[in-house]
Amino acid sequence: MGDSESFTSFARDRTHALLRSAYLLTGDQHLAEDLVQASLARTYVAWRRLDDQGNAEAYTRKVMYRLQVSWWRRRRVRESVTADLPEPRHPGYDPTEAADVRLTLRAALAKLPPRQRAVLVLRFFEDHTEAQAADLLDVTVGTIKSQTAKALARLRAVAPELANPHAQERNLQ
Amino acid sequence: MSPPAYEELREAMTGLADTVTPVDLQDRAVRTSRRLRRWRVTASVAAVLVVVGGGTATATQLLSTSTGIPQAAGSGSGSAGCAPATAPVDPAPSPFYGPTEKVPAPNTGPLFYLAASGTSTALVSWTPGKGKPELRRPLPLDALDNANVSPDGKWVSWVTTDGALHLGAVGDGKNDRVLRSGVDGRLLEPVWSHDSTRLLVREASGGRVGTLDVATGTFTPLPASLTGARHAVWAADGTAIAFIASDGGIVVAKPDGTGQRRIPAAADYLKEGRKVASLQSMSGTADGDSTLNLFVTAPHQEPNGCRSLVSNTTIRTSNGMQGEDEAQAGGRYREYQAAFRGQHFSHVDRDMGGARSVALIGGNGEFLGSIDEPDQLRGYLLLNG
Repeated sequence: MGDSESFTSFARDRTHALLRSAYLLTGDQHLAEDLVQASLARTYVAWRRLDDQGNAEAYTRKVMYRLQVSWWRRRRVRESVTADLPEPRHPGYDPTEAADVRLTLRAALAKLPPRQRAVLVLRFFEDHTEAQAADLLDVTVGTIKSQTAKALARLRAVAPELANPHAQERNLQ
Repeated sequence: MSPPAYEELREAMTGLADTVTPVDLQDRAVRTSRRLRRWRVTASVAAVLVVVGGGTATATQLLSTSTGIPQAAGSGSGSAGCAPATAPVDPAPSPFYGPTEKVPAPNTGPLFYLAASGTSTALVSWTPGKGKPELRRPLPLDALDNANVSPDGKWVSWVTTDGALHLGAVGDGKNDRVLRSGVDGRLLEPVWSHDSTRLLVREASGGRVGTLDVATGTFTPLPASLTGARHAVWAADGTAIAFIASDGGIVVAKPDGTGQRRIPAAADYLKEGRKVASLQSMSGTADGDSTLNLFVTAPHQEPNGCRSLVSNTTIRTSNGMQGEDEAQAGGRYREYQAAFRGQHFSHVDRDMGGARSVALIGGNGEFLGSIDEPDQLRGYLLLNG
């Protein structure tokens, strides 16, 4: 399989997974597409240099997070919160409650600086360890810890129901 | 190991991620990668910036209007020695210019602009979200090269060609006075401290650099030498200054000039034959994750006397990393002016594209709001705070 074919296969297989994270990072469908597009473009440029194309997704995600957090991108992102949320996809959900939660989360994430937002996505959506998150963002573990604490504190201020650290403990009891 | 809690947050994130619409980005990514490759090749051998307007040629004409607001005549052509170079511009619209939707601008103080004709200059203010631009006062033509408004928005300083440093109220010219004579207004134009009490100035003869107390007129030389320094800026919180060194490098220092530290990025520019023409603004401090807006020339182009032109890059003062605006824009150079204002917001980006807008950025880099800039301000020079 040539470079073009193998990249095409990779991109088509993994775009949606990348988009899900990018959407959490940007809060906007179009910005998420831009972010994934830019990340995939850089991956394609580096495709031949990748030691193992099996690591292409990890490479792309690293590029994506760093692009999002980079200083200039921060200022370009123009976020807005709208009430236009898609219908919930999972039967059994209370649609009103689910939509409310998503709306609340989206608005709460929009209030966070990009780095704190990225840390939350890495830790609580992608389930990365602090060390993995630090590697992806090219910062120290200490920075990840402090940014996580700050992000949760800010999240708690605007959406206390989402940043409750004791939820699982309650569930386990 | 995963964090042990926050299940509601995890579930909410998964739910929010589920709402994204699947799309196929493979073709778009490949096209972007081609632009990236082309830009990388072109940028290494060709010019690196686009200047749409700014500096002494930002507004070339003043046309009186019924509102009394000067009307600038399109974009300037660049001052001598600052002629715009040709940048690699991709004909395809860049996806990175983002959606045009706006969110309400927060309450802010006014932004200040200069407009000029062949014989005079006008100071104009506009508060985002608060109506039309206002003509505040006339200034002599000399002021176009070096006028600066204090961060509190009350005072304007400028240097005339005879070396006199003038101070006047923003609102009128009734009580203008000369603060000091023999001041350099060309290469190290006076810049305001963050608390609006001092100006960093250089004596025209002898070259001593110091701070001038605007209330008393007392000049205090800096203990450290700033020989050859050009185009200084003061950090927003007053804890640092930055300037262009005599060899073209960028230096960050304490406000008294001690603790000078070179920003490594400048070395890369110099290797490529570019020169740093002016610094526009610096947010944060010398030690933190602060950023510096700067204007670099095309390779081997002389930056004679440029100030406050359209920036084309940003760097972090902490590590010299360059902003990724050009690369992210798929080969297009973003045309913007950046200013730095007051307590309400730390940064203003003025997108000079087709639909000009002002983006307000908070101290933590968060996006605070965006608003279209009135048409009357087209081509005006946005002053740093």
